[in-house]
Amino acid sequence: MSALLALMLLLSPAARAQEPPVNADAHWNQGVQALESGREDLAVLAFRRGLMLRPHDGALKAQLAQRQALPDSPPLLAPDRAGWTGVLLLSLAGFSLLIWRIQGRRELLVAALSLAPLGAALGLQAQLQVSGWGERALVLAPGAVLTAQPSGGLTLFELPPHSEVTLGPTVDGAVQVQTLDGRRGWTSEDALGVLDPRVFTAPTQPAR
Amino acid sequence: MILLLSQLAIAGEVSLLVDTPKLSVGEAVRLQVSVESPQQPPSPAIPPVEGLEIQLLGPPTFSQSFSWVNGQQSQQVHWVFTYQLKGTREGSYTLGPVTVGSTASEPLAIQVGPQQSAASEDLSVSFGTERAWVGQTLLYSGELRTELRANDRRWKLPAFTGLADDPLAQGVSEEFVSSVQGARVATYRVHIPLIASEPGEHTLSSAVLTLQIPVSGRGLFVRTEPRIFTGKSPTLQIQPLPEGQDPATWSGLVGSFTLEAALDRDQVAAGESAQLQLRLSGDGSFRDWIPPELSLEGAQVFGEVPATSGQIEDGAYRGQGRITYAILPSEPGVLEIPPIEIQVFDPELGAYRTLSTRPAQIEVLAGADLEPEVVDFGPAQPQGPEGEPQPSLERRPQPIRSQAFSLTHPLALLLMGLPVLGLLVQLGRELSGRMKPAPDPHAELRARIAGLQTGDLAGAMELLRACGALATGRSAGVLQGQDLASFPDPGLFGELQAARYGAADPGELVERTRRLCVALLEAAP
Repeated sequence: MSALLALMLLLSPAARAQEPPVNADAHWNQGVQALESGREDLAVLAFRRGLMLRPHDGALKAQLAQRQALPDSPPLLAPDRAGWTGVLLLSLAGFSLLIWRIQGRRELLVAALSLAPLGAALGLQAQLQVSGWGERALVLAPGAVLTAQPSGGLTLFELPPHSEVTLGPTVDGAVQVQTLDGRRGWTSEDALGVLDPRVFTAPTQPAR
Repeated sequence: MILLLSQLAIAGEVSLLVDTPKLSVGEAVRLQVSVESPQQPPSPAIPPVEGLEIQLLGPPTFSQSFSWVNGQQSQQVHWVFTYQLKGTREGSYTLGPVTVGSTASEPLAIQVGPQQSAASEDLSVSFGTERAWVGQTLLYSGELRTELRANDRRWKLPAFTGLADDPLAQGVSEEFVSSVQGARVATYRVHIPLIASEPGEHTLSSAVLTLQIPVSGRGLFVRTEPRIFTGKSPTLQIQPLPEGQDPATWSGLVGSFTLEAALDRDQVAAGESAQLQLRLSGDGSFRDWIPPELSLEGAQVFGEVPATSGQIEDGAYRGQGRITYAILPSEPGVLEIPPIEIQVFDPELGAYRTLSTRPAQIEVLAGADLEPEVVDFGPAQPQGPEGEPQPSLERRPQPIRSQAFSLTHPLALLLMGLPVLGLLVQLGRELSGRMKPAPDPHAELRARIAGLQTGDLAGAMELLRACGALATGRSAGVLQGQDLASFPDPGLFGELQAARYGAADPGELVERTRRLCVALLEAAP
């Protein structure tokens, strides 16, 4: 397994491009740094991003629970664990099929047919989870409002801080969002933090 | 008493349906009274209307429908009474309400126009006006009245230059048959809602209606010929809205509108909200409607997403817009809601007009029990729950492993690709093995017979088994001594075995083996 991890590291794009690794621990550190800078909004965002990578991290959950920002439906499995398990199962199923074709051992065919659906389900579930990153955002700024039009206009309602919204099209710094209860409207991009663990937001601005 | 109960029991829905509410003097159309009733209802009581002649056309018909909701079945039976409705005098009339038992229908407005010829056979096309304002909603209408009987009809409408489609309403196409002075007349109509968008004079190309007229045959074998009707090309002058008069609070509406406001309560407890609903309706589209912003001193106001719609009713466009505001008073007392003003542009006046609601009041009650529940979404205090240790905020070792999974990661592709590659290679080998022509066993064995060495007793025994297998059609491995003993030289195999231990002359045995094998090959299929 350690050889596999070493190979993963060597082949990973992050290792090749010297980019910060996408890791729950990195987001934890980012959140702690944001708290030290007085940016609780960015800390919540970092903790939420970390929780997307490691859904059962107790410290991340405790920090979010303390700020009433726990997600309603966190993922059941960490995407990397589910994904790599799926890949290994698919690989095993493939090798079993190969040996069955060479040696004619039927038990290997049965093993391959059992492993392949499980592996495919795990791999696809992880891939879909990762593909959905960036489609949702967290409301950061207290007092952010939703308006009927991109340029402002009628104020529809106030967005609760730390609530989750689905992102839509963007027009001149305003983004169309939909709340979890289905209400739609426009708000400023600055009021939101995109829920994508591949993004790191450094707390350089003063707190609003 | 039983009769009375049965009449009360049929108290279903009664509705009126007429082919067209606009008739001409002497024209007769179909009027239907639909009654929802499990058993045949009594005849509808239609109050007589001077100027209209109503005549029952026959016994009622009925239709049934079934529906299943949450596993429960319900049945509905509709009885339809069909009448002929004829206009005898010009005027506007109200038909009904029509009563069946104890249930009454909504009244129906009927207009009777001047007498027309039986059928014009001309396709008339118009916008109902020749001048319009930018933003004004127009109805492009086409109509053909003909005595021809058609199996099918197809409209081809012009490109509406200078006009835009109304996204809130769809065009309608209708057809019905009436009787005018004893002649059967079919009417074909189309109504398309459009919004004037580009100033200037616009002449549209012609609308075309194609009717398929049956000329011979019946049923599926009917032969039809097309009959094409072409309308005139209407011209429309679109003028821009007057400059310099555009009020800052213009709502974006163009047309004749009415405004209504409704407050759901006039008393509210502190912390609760009241709802104010504004309803606008008129002959213009709400495509560009900008709802008014409402701000009240002493209350927070939240507006919902406005609801807009448009539809064509009886040949006229009707648009509707609705918005609801939630008003959350912040302190006890009397909350004044001033008149809400909405500016619209009225095409008939050629000027902006202000619609206004009446002022209203909400009494806000105070009470210790009515304290609103305040949810604090502000910055959280860095303290843990009472009695529990505060969560640690120590930094973690800088990780190096990435947790971003991707099926296109090189290692994932390698792990999944290797067995696939191996399978492909194996399948390729199997396939090529199948495609190679099978060697001729006769030729192969003849070559082995020719190449058999004089002292090669083991080779002779193996050759004998192979030839015997070919001759008997069995596998060489399963041939027993008794099988070999049944060949023309029965003792040869035993002698060969014995010769391996020096019991016989190997040269002669090999020669006998050659002869026997040749004989077996000749006998083999």
